[in-house]
Amino acid sequence: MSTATTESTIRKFLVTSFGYRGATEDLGADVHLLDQGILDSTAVLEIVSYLESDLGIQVADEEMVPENFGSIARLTAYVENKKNGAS
Amino acid sequence: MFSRDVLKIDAPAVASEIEQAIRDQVFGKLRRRGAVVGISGGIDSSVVVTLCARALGKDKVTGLFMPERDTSDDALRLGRGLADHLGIDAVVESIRPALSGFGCYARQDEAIRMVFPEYAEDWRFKITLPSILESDRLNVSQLTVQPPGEEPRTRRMPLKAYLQLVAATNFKQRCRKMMEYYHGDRLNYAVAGTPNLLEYDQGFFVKQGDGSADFKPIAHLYKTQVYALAEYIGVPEEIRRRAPTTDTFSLPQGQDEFYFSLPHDKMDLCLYAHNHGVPAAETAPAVGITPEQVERVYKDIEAKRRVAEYLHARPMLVHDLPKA
Repeated sequence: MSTATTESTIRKFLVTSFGYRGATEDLGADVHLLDQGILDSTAVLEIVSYLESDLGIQVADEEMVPENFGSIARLTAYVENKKNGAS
Repeated sequence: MFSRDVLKIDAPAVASEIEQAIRDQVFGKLRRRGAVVGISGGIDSSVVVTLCARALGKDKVTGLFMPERDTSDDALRLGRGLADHLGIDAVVESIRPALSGFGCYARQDEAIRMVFPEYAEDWRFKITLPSILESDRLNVSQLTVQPPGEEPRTRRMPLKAYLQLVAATNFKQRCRKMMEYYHGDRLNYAVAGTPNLLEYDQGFFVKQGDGSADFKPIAHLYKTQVYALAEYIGVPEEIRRRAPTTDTFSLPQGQDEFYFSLPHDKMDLCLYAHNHGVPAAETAPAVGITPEQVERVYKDIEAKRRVAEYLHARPMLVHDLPKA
């Protein structure tokens, strides 16, 4: 899966799951999802569940940080790194 | 220089102001004969019931003890001691049968078994958050269970289990509030709420549970100030020395493990500093943590406020109505 495809997949999931919280198709990749209130701690649990069950990524507790979950760009990089075995 | 002194209060003046407000609100605005207060054995409800007794008279206050299966052993003893000390009418209302009827415990246990399939009824449990001081990990809840005589086990909670467990335990606060309103209606009394400023601001309450009340006389006081007031109005020392708990889960649990990122004295200072625009570098030495940790707490305060907006929201109407 290319980086562009990964970003598109994540964006689609966010829009589907958190459209009611303001996640839109044209959401900037660097918009801070936590500071903007698009994600909260409950939403993070939902994303973790999605990453583990649909994308086959095991999320370690210590990886659940804004650095990995703070924006679409960061989520994309995190998923790419995990798939490449980098983290 | 920013210091702990910002939270100092003139306890006699604060008590006098609150007692006047309680009289004005209960008799004048709410037009009720007295007040009902749920007594948990903790500092907040102890202060509120004492202030009500001082403001309205001991014969116009009814205290309620509402234990359930997971209530700590000393809660009822401490509450009874306080009611005797104040000389108020006090009633024990076990909410355990009501909670069983609602399926609270069965739903609670079902949620726990989603995480620990081996969980048995004699195990104890609690929900905890990672420490904000150690890393900037997101507030993702963990479940800790402890079989009798064994070490605790902790695992992250999947969304479904977390939501169901919180929803099930919320029955406890809601049942208690129903019972308070029963006695309020029976006696033509108002129902007191017991949140302090930290809890009120950060949404540490259950909507239509302990968040519901006719008046909330200490919601403007930081927890540190509640302790200072408690000493002045004579709340027994054993209650003042007791660590704050959630009184919701069967394993002993501090509020800072479950909801707040820091112990209440540090959390009060951070909240005060954040509310007054004090930079993290100036706040840090007074709290005894690093500026980076203070920044994390500031962010956490804002995140919790966003969640609290829903909890504070009144039912929404399509149109504003006159005199509503």
